[in-house]
Amino acid sequence: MATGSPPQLRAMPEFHRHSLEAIARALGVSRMTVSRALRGNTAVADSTRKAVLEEAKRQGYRPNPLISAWMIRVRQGDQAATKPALAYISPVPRNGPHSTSANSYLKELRRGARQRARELGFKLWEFYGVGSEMSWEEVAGRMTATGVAGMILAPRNFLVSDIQVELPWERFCFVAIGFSLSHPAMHTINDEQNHGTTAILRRLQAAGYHRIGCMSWHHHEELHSHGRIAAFLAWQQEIPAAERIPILRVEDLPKDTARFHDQIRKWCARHRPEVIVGTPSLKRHLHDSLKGLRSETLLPDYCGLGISPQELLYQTQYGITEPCFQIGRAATEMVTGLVYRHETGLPEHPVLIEVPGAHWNWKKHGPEGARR
Amino acid sequence: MNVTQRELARAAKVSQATVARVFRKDPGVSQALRAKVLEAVERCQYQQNPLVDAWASKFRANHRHAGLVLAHVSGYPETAYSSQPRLRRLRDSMLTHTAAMEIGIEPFYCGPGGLGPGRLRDILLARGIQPVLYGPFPREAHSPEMDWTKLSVAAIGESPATEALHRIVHSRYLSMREALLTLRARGFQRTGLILSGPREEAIAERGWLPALLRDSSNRPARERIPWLHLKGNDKDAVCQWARKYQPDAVLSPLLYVAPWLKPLQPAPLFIGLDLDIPPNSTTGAGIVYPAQTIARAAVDMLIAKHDLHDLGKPADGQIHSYFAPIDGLD
Repeated sequence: MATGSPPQLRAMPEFHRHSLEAIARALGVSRMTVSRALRGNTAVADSTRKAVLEEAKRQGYRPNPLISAWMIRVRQGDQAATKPALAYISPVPRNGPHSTSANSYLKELRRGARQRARELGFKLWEFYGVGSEMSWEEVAGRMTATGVAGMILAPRNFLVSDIQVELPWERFCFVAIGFSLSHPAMHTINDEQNHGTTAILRRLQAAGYHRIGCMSWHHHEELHSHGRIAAFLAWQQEIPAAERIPILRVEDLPKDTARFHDQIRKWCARHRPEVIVGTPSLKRHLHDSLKGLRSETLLPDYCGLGISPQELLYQTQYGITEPCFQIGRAATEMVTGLVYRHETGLPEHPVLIEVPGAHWNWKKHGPEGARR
Repeated sequence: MNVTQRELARAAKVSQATVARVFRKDPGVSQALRAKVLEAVERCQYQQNPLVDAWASKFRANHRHAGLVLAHVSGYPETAYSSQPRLRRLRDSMLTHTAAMEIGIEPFYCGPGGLGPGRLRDILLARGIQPVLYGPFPREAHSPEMDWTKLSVAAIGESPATEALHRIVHSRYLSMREALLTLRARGFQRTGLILSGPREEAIAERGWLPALLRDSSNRPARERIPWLHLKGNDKDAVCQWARKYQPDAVLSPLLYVAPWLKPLQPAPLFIGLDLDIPPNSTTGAGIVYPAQTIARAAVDMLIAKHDLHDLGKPADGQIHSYFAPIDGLD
């Protein structure tokens, strides 16, 4: 450390006991008004609230969510009502055919998030169907009233890109699971794709496969598997150009299933992959497509990337698992860290936390088993 | 009915301090004692309240970690930290961030000729230093197995040594993705990439190439430009490639390529990759290694682990990826 400029001590935002008062004084309103305005209470006139928020921003005032929660508890004198809490916000309904309880992936995420919250002593409020059955404003209001400090934005099980959500972001700490909420940029937890996919490809190579293909749902790619596709393409640079099989991108199961199957059949016939890596849910469609063909030898092996808990139970897949439970845990852990560090609002430097999946079933159903 | 910690201590027949130490996961509490307290927690259905923690820390304010010392273990010697701009920025950012919390940093060198993992562990335990910032290590560094029990660790950078740990990294992949989006938004349609070194290594610079390939695989063929794998200081190869494919923007970590591209008509925009220091008006635009973000994130993660007494090697080696935007673009 002998040379170079000495580290500059950055002015830390000090904890002002009286900054609520400072805002009130600057605007000539009461402290209670400031407090109400910051909490989004509608009893304050819109113009006043706007002025307060602006002044708060100017002074760099950020209410500490944990202290706010504590104050609610102190005021209400109610011990049980206000355990410090996090909110688990899911756009997917709680029950029904396309619900959280019907989807093993979402269920495992939630189980992980719940477990870690319990370990860390936080209550986890759960909101379902947000954006459809319940508005974001309603959620924000409830969160403020119950002193929720941080929130976890759970993913959807179907895909809609570019969901824009308007929330009073500056009041809460939050993380998102997956990329289904593409705006605004925030801390995100997802599965690790790059190293995992490369490791799988090398393992398949070592098992003697030469022609390795890749299939993906086109619509899901940007949100779910762009890292895997990128890793596959980079890996292909290592093999002779003649052996590189172009990725088969299939459209979301179309009405015209004949064309859909035809697309898969043609691709298989043309490129003759020995094994296909790809989205686990495509394995079934691949088999359906190739069912009627004369020669069984054409049917390639399938190696799933991101196998969900459901598929682990019911299918004889091998590949790499989707670490849903660990992702749920990591999400809670991340958001509690933000709460403790008092980092509310949209992050200046969003992080992507990547949780690795586990290799699955290679001995039993994979190329390293007795079958081959 | 909420059970208080005092009632819990009475139920477990231990002192309140012991209860507190169990919750802090203090390694000094015996297994038997811990089991006894945890059994009482179950029996009384005691639930911890982190609000109390926050309330107390409000009074302790910024002095909460005063006097704590972090070990910074890395594969580069101290001389590198003063001579290499990237490492210096990293270390400076660590010091700035920890100084504000009155935390100290002790450097340890674990590269060739430095401390072995066993010796390092002995020193850390003897000195009572529990939290360890681990890395960066050179990619080719030989990676000895470290025993992490009784230590908390946050790793910096991707290398064999940091595998399986929670590590804070600059994701070249995310930065490249972001850069391609930025360039597209500014009207650049044909982006090229130049890399060097042995082929496997160029590909294994995991990130730039995967991001580019994936991006161009979605584009019409006429907009795809094959990446250039440069062998040696081959100016002709670069000019030939640029003339043939006519890129309007070229990204590369090889800064010496930039002047070769300038005389071309039309000259592509050059964007440096993985720069050590922010670019100035003469060097042009580039993506700078986000030393400050990485250093702060690593320190924050380590302190959070320390606070939770989260010791040992984690069950899953999470990668915390940060990206950096293109700096100096008009």
